[in-house]
Amino acid sequence: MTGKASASSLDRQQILTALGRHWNPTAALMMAATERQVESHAHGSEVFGEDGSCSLDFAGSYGVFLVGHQNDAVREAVLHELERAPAIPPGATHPAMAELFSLLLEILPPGLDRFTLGCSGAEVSEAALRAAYLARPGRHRIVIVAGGYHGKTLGALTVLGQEEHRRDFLPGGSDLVVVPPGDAASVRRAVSSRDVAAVFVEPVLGGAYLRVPPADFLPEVSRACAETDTLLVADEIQTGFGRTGRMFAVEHFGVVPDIILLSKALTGGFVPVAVAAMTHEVASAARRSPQWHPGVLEGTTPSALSMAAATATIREVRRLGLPERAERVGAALRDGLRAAVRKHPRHLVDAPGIGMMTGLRTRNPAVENLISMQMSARGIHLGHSLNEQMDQPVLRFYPPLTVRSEQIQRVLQALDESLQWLDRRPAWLMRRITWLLRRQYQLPPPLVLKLMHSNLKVNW
Amino acid sequence: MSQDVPAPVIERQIGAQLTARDGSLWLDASSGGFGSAHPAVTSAIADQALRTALSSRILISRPLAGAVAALAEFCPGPLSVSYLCNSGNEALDSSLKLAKGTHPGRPHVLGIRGESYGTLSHGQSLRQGRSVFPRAPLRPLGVPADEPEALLDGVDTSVAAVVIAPAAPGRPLGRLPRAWWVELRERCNRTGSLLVLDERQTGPARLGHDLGTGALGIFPDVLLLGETLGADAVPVGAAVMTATAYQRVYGRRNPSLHGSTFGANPLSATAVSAVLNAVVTDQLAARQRDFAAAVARRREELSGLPAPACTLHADGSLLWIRTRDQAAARELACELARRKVLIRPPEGDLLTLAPPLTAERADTDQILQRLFDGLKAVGAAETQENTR
Repeated sequence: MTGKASASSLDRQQILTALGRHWNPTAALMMAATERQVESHAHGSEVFGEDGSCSLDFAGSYGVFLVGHQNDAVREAVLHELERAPAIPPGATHPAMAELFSLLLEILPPGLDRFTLGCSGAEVSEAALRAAYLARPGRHRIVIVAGGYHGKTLGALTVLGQEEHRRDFLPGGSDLVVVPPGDAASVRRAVSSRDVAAVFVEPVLGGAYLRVPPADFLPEVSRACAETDTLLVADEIQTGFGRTGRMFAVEHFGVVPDIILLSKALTGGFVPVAVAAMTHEVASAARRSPQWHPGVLEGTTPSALSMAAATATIREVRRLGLPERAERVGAALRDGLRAAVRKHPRHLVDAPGIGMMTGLRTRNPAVENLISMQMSARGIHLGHSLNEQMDQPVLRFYPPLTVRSEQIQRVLQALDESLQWLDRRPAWLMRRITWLLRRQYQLPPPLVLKLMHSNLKVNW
Repeated sequence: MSQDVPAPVIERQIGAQLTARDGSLWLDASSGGFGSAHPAVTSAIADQALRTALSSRILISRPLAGAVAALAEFCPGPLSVSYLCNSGNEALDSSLKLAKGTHPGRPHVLGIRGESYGTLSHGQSLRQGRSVFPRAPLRPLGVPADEPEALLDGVDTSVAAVVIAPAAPGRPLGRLPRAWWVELRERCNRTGSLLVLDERQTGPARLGHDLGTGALGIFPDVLLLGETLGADAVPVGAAVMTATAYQRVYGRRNPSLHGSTFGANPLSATAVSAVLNAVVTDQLAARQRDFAAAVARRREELSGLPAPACTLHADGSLLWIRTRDQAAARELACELARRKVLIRPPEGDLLTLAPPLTAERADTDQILQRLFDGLKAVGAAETQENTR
């Protein structure tokens, strides 16, 4: 294909060919193998294909679509800024940025009033890491939680709790202390030597490792940090803005961190944006460090569109009472998933959930994969882990907090049908499929398409 | 004595024209981006925003296919695989991650100290010439900004990647001759070090070429592009690499080994295609060459006059002025602000002006008029001060 040829004239095979040649050949192969349609548009909790198909989006891009797709207020704010003044040139002040900061000050836990902006969660994770090392000079260790996720940039990788994504790039790492999820005693032991700069923690461990911690975990971690002058960094990139039933997940536990990281939902589903908010004490201590230099805590300034989207999103979260709605409407989803675990213990381990941050811990990657495919065939997208190396990946259900109760019921009905279908498959098949999944990227691509009965071609 | 001029609070942007909230009219020589209110680009972004902006990326993305195909066509030679992310900073970081994945045992990244490598941790380390945090996967090796040719001597088998821009404020495009670039390419080939060409500031079109690499006579392993691709409205960056470099680390691997939640989203992909199309159809590279020619014509005005500038240079519309000292740079910056020209805060004795690529000729002429008036005014004031 040439760039002169408009992308609008390509058929599905040609689109996949372009993606396979010029973007990500493995991702293109997976899309071909699973017979994905071409995305057309989205609205509310629904995503539409160009073939006219309509799916419920319970994947939600891992928490991005908190206010749903194409939220009217957010879209209007973005388009208005696009027409008016979309850029933030260095040296100028943009009212959209000031507006966002004012609003953040209203909703954040007290004291978190110094902001670093970014275009992704990983960017602000790195800013938090730099702030922590500067504010606690001489301390080289960082504590993280096994399975924790704070981004995949080269700097953010140094605090990634997912070994499978880290080891190809960072063979070593003796200053990194990895503690088991929910284990406050391990955190206390680690910080007791007073050589730890910061503890990075997701208040609710997310991703394929989704786990709601014991109620005393975060308070105990916070106490241990305070007693040893260790910084507490709360990564609320997945949990922030109501996903767990409170505006911020730390509110469940009565904890105020030294640094909080925000992104995903803040975009309103429109324009990338991220924020690291830190206390005056952290910013001042960082500035006193001999290693400090101007700009060291700077991030990437996104556009005014990002600021407008974020401001409108926060207003929508408050206007619609979405944290409370996540708790109330999400109860049916949480109960339904737990009922599925009780009914299908052969396939499911448990159903971790808080607010509308929910999922099914599956017995093995084959179960996760097959449920995901069965649900997809029934017009429902779920948050697949894409992590076939894990023993028990969590299949995530992260619907928009604007989801309707009948849509939740439709998902639970489809889940029951999918699990019944799975019940009729023998146990050896799960073992065989897991074996195959773990080797899928080594298989010749044409064979993958053949195994999946796809009519598409691998011509990249 | 210089007096600080308040920064404008932006109310409206059209091309290089900024209207401030207090009603004053400014000219943008700061953003160094594409420019606002380009009809076709704005319309493409708005249309896509009405359909789907970010995405769960479970379905196949038509805008993404268009963007990566357009990038492959726009970038020369074997540069054909694009990693789309959310900023130029992330693009640069992704090239270093690729380098570390290629050479997990190599500890160093090589660059030019003092030049801009973005705000992510490894980029800041390269600029500072020291790691900004312990346990950094790559430690910087840097040569002084006034000795860029010394970079060649640093390329060895401890270096995972060499990162260099074709030109930078303070370093003209012609500062390093073609033979030097060819030698750099050869040394990278010999050592296996990844050659990363950082075009976040210089591409597309800024230097008067579609890409700066076109003037160097070599192909890098990775070419970086930044916010200009998003028309200064949609955050985006791109690392465009050879298929060989990509396959070495990510081939036949789980696609989630690298990536980001927002990266490759339909809105940014649409912006990339629209911007690249505008660069070609509006002949924006030629427009930047016209700017450089205008600078050359006006340079005569300064001869014989007292002026605070030691060097004034333009590659395309990347214009920089090396002043006598920091004080002179600050003075000139204030003078430009008084004349309602928005520029980036000076860095030491260096001022950079980079109007939007789509700035109208009348606006860029005005920027230059005010710059030269400012230079003369500062020079005259200094003469007066000295004779007092």
